[in-house]
Amino acid sequence: MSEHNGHMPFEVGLRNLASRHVDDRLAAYTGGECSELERVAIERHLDACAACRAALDETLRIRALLAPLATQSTPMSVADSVLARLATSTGEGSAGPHIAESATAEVIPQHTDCPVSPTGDVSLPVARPEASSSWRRREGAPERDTTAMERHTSTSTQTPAQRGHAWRNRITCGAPESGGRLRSFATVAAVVLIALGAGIFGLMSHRTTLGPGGQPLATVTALAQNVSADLPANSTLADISMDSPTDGWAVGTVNNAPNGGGGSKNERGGQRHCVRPWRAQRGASHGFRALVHSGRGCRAAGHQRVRSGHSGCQRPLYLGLSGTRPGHGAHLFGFTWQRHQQSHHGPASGRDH
Amino acid sequence: MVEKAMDAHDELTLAEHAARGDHAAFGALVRAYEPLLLAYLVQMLGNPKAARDTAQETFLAAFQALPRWRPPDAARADPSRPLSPWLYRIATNKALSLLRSGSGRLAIVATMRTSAGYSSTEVMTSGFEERYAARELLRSALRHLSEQDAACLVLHYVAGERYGEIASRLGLTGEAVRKRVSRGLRALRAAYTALDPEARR
Repeated sequence: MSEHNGHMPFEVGLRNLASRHVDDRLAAYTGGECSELERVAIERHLDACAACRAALDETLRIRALLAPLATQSTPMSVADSVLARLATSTGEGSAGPHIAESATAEVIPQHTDCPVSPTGDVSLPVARPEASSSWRRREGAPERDTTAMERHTSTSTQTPAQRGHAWRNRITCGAPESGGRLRSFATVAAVVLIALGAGIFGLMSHRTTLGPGGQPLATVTALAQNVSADLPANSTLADISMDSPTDGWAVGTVNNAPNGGGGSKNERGGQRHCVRPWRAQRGASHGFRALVHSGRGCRAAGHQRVRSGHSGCQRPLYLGLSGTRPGHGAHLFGFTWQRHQQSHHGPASGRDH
Repeated sequence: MVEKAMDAHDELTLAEHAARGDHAAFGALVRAYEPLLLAYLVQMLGNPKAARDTAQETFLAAFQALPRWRPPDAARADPSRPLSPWLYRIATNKALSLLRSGSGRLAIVATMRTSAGYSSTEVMTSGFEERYAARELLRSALRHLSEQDAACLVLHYVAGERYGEIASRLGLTGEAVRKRVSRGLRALRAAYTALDPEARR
C-alpha cells in the first residue's frame, strides 16, 4: 500500500481519493480515462467497498451490453438525395437557403412506383395496446408521432400533413405569372380536390378503422392468405415491424406470467420481451396500414396509417392484432384491400389462443 | 470510414459558398460529413433507414441555417472540422426528437437489416434479444439526457471513442466530456435498473 514509490503527496492524494465512493469516476475508470493516481485510488476503494463493486459490475455489464451496437451497418450515402431535394425546392421557387422555414416541408415526395420502395424499407409502428391513450392521441393529432413513423415507412420523410402542406404550397405559389384569376381558380380547384380526397380517404379510414368489434370488417370475405405471429398468453404486443414487404417481427411483452406460455427463454417473471417472426403471403402487399385491435372482443383501439396505397395499388396489406386480453395471448392478423372491396383474414383463421 | 481530407480553410470557404446557396459547395460538405454522421446516427437510432432520414434532415436543416452559422471557438473544436460541433448538435437534436416521439420500433428494425438488404437468418439467433435489450436500454437513457450528454454517451459507450476524440468532434473541453460521459453512465444505470426487475433487488 504505502510502498507505492514512497512518494508522500501521491500517497496523501491516494488516501483522500480512495476514501471516496467511486460512482462518479466509474465511467472514466472503466473507459480507461483515469490518471494513474485515480486508477490506483479507485481500485483501493473497490477492494473495501461492496456497494462500489456492485456499481462497477453493473457498469461493466452495461458496457458489454452496448458494445455490439457499435457494429451496425452504415446506410448508403445521402449526398445525392440531399442535393436532389435542394434542387427540387429551388425549382419550386424557394431560391437558396433563406426562404423556407423547413427544408423538409417543401419537398414533394416522389412515389414513382406502386410496390414497396427499392430499399423495401417498410415497418409498422409500435403498437401498444396497453397504452391505448397514445393511440388515441395518434389518431387525433398524428403530426409528431406520424412523422417519426412515416420517416421509416416510406421513401418520403414527410407526414401526410406535410405533404398536403407542400402540395398546397405548390398550388398557391406556383405559376406566379399567371395572375390572380388563374390562381384563385387553381385554389378553388385545389380545395375541391382536397375535400374530395379527404372525403374518400375518410370513408376508407372509417371502413378500416372499425374492427371485428365494429361492422364493416364483419362483412368482409375471409381469404386463405396467412399472416401469423402467435405471442404467448399473458402478453401484449409491444412492436410490429416488417423487415421485408412480407416478413416481420412481433415483439411482445410478457406480463408476469408464471405459466407464460413460452416467451423468451430468459423470461423469469416481471415484464420480459418475447419475439416472434411472422410472414405474410408474398406479393400480398403494396401499401401498408397497421390496424390495432385490443381488449375484450377485439375492439379497435386505433389505427395508424403507415403507407397509403398508391393509386395504382390494388392490394395494400393491413396488419392488426387481436386477442390481447390477459391469458389469451396475442395474434397478428392481416387483411388486404382490393380497390373497393376488403378481404379479411385473421382471427377467423383460428390462431387466437 | 474514410474521412476526406479537407482543412479548415476549405471547409470555411465551402460553408461560405453554401450559405449563399451554392449547392455544389454544400454537396462537398455533405460528402465530407456524411460518413461520420451516418455512423453516429445509426449507432444512436439503431435503424439504418432512420439514420439515413435523420442525416438528410440534418443536412437540409444545416443548409437552411448556414447563413446564420458562425465558426466555433477554435481552441475547442477540431480546427480542421469547424462545422463538426454544429452538425453533430443538429443531428443529435433530430435523433433525440425521434427517439422521444417514437417508440421501441426503432430498436427492432435496427437489428434486422444489413446494408445489402434483409437479413433473415442472423436475426433468428438468440443475440437478437440481447440487441433488443441493449437498444431499449440506450433509448431509455437517451430520452432523459440533454443533447450534448446524449452525444457523449453514444460516442463513448456505443462508438467507443476516447474523451479526446469526442471533445474535438463536439467542440467541448476534455473535462466537459468527462462530466457528460459520467452523466450518461448515471442515466444508463438508472435505465438498466428500471428495465431489469432483478437489478432492483
